[in-house]
Amino acid sequence: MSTAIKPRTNATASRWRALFSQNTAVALTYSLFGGFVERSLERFDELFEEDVMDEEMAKAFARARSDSKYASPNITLRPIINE
Amino acid sequence: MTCSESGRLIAQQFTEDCILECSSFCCGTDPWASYLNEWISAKSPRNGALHSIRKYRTSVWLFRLDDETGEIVGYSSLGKTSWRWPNHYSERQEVWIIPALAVASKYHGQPPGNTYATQIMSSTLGEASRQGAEFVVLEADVNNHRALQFYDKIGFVTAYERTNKFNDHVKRLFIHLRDDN
Repeated sequence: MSTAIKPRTNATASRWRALFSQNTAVALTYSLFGGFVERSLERFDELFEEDVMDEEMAKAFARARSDSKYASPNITLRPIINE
Repeated sequence: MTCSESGRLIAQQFTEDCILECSSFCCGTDPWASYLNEWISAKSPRNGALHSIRKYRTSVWLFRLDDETGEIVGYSSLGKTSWRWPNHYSERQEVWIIPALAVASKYHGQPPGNTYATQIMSSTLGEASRQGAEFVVLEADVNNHRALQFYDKIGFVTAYERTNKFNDHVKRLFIHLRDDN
């Protein structure tokens, strides 16, 4: 009986090992690559996360307020219309 | 939603349901373009467009061809924040932000004249203006010459250059939409 079970146990263990290594690989790939993508997209949040405007920006804004031609749009603005 | 009376593009509010369709969106292969591709197609609510909508209440629109294909030409986004300026002790003032705007590679420079990029920007700034924006701010990689040339043509001005925490060398640009004085 033991000789009949042993091969099945080995096969089961082998399948479990394969499954475990596959899952580990998937999990590692996700955690590395997924984490990388997640962090890389944080660059789009930077402007929202700032609290105080940089001095150069403040100066540029002040200049735009005093000179109407500075930094004004050269295109016709067409608002997105809600249907 | 329609993109004004231009009749060329249809604007659609971006939602979670659009993500699958956006997975094939490609505005280029440069690093900054890859980030823009990832931003609009990110499935996790922890990053990308969905994250921006949920965390910062950003509005995101897809712009489609106004024909039977309805193909996605590009997208834009508009958010609002408040910064203290001119110094740490000043009152907060609202500033509008375009965190991401992109046109698919195959539509770059198309159609001649009033390009899709111009139409998308016109709609985005128009929406900002409608909401009462005085200043609209965005950033672009210093090596993204196509975008910088486009923003310059629109009227954006570079406030300064900086290196962000991701080691990107970017230009911070802004445009002035109304005079408060």
